[in-house]
Amino acid sequence: SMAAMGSCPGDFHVLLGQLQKQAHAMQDPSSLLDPYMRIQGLDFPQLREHCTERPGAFPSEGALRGLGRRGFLRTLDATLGLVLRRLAAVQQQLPEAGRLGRPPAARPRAQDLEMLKMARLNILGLRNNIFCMSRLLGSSWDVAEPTQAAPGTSPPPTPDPGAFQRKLEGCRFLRGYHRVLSSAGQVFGEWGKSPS
Amino acid sequence: LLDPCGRINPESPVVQLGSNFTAVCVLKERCMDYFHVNANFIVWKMGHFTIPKEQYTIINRTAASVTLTDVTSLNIQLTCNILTFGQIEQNVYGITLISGLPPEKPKNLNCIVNEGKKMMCYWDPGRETYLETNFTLKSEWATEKFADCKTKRDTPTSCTVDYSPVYFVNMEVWVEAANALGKVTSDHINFDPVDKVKPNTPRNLSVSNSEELSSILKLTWINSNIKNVIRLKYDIQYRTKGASTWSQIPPEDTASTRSSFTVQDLKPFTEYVFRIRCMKEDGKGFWSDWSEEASGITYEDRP
Repeated sequence: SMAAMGSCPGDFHVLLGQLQKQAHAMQDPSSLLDPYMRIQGLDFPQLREHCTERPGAFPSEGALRGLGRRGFLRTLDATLGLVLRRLAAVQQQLPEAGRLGRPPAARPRAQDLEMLKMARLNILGLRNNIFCMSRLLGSSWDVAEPTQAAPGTSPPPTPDPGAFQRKLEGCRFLRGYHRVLSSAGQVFGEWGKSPS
Repeated sequence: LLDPCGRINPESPVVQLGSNFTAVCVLKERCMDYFHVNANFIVWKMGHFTIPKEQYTIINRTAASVTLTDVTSLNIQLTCNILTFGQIEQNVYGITLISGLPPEKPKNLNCIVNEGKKMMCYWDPGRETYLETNFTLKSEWATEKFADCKTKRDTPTSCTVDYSPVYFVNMEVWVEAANALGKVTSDHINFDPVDKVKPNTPRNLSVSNSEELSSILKLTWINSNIKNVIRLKYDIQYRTKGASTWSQIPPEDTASTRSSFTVQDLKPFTEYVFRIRCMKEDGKGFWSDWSEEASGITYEDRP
């Protein structure tokens, strides 16, 4: 497991405030879903309608709320781990998209690629704070898998159900991700109101 | 290259200023036989200056050392020579002795996040060391270590990290200073980058007067995107055209995020110049630069 290093805030309310602000910022689709759709060429009104969260893919807000604090943190961390792997798969495919001679207009904009990179760093940051909160709540915590600040190796892409379908699946996945973060923001908001 | 008649150890020494230094010259048998000399024939020189024999120690037939006390020069050419055939000085070997100081503990480490840019940290390096001294900025979260930030030769007291700032995540930062004489670490600082922001300057500051009230001018401006991340407060200053001293709007009146402000109690029909800057509401971080100045004229008083 990743050795715990010293920079966790020691104050519950400071850390909770950070988690709330992170969740608030990251639930916004413009932080990841929108650049993903532009990169994947899905940025069309009729396609947006299809890009809905797949039921059951992620825990509902009620389920998250019912988990209790440690369970909630663990579930949120695992969800973020999934998103990181999905993002790594997308980023792995992007150079290939560039090499396949997509016309310049269709090539991912540098700004969108930077937003994907930033989204990944923000997810790592949220996992960091989840780790700190779990330590503050006194539960032992193993970071699920080694995470590196710099992009590391990632699992091989899932079997190819067809490029378009895969992209749309990614879109639905990220729609769910943003919803989970919105729900997480709500739950963290309620933490602030009750002491434990 | 002519095979030297001997060698000096150490080969390329770095010593601390004010300390003593001893070098050993070892002659080769082949040369000793050829020139009929031994360690007693060794003459040590610093540049052109012959070092007095009192500072030599004959170690054995082939080797003699010399001790320099209280080294004060930064760069010494030390040579080992032999006096051949009674009077011809033949160079055996030479080294460059460099001296300096170990690095001091870097102090006053701080970091700044210029909005939209990567974090830059800076520190006081301490005394001059006279040696090539490398500074490495280390930064990490509780669960992540970021790549070392190595300073460049021309900017040894600051480093800009190569990753974008992630707000609301505490990080730990420190600096390591190292040269040939030692390595030392600064105190660690622990902060949320959101508390180190220097916002971009408020833009498009404009001034408009009011026909109804000749003693007021309304300012409007555009806040930078950082307003979506932090709450802002402002410094607003104004002066009459041609005056040199600025007056300040009471900070408590501009202590929250806004994009306009009405300045009151001004003289009618007078041109005023305004400027504005902003920073994080709770005072953590840095003031933005001052905006461009903007001016406006209060309305005439009604007769």
